[in-house]
Amino acid sequence: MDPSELRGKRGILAAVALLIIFVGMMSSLVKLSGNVNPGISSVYNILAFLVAPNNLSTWVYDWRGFDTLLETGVIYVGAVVSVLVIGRGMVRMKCRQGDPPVQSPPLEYKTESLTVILKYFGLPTAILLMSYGILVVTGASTSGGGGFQCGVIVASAYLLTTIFYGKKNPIKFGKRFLVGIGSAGWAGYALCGLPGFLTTGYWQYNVGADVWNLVAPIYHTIFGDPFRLSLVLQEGVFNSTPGIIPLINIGEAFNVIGAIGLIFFAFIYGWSDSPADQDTEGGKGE
Amino acid sequence: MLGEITPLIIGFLLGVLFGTQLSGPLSKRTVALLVGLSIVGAFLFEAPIFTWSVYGGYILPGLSFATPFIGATVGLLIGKALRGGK
Repeated sequence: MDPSELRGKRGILAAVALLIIFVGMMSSLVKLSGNVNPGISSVYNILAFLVAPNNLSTWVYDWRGFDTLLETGVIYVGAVVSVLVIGRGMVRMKCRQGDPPVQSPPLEYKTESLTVILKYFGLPTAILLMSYGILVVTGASTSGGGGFQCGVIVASAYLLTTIFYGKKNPIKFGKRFLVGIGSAGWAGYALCGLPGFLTTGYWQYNVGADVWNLVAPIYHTIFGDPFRLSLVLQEGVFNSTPGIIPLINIGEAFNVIGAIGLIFFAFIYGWSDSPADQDTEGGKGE
Repeated sequence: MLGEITPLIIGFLLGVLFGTQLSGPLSKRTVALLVGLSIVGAFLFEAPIFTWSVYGGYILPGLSFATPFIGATVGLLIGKALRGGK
């Protein structure tokens, strides 16, 4: 990417976004000084069920917060390093500096050689897989679902159809779409912390669940009520809401779809920086 | 509770988003098959935990449907019809 592209509106937006996140995180860290509980498991067991039936989700997003976001960042780093080390796509690979490029044989995708079952059921299977991925992210706060799992499942559907159909892949995850969805996911994840920061001073404080009663009821209505469930337990009936956790999970899912999709994309179709190739498979598609 | 229907809406909207990236022919018979399989799948996955209303997918004890799964499939098909092609 040319650094000059960051001049103008894009540069201003990027600088403002980075500044907000930096100030928020740093001021939260300063306020955290001296207020850290020695171990959170006891607090957890008291409070977690008030947030969501799936305690794991509460842990991951309500307590660990940005740790998970940065873990997904590792995927991006892994993708870049893998592409740098192994090669820019399967179509053209280099051996050592000075050696002529190794011309790998062209990939032979012959959809006519697929069996009838694969040919006609490949796309429906991929659609059902994507639906399953979406189901998983919607159940993040109530079941064993989550954003990361959703991203992996949807990316698997993409890989499946790539194997079946090759360049005629019916899932047209172009480079621009994958980069866009990954960026939107990362930004959405980070910005979910903004309401908590503005109201309490703590970045990513869950204003929807608000287990510490720190914010005005309007925030419960906006961020909490859309996800509120009635928990019928032996101890009684509780109105529980995961607050911003489902939104963070969607951001996480977008992030992972972008990251893993780009890995598949770069390895299978190769990479091109030409603006004309942004919506096609490495510029080698239709 | 609103939380019982929100996953269905989110599933549908995400389905439409990803459906716009789909292409390739799908016959009416295949579409009907997909909808049918999604209903079967929704029955197998069951309604989300702590869902008690019909619009959340809960009908009887032991009989419930994961409505986000159906919503996502319908959303994918609609998204594909909107932008993805035939």
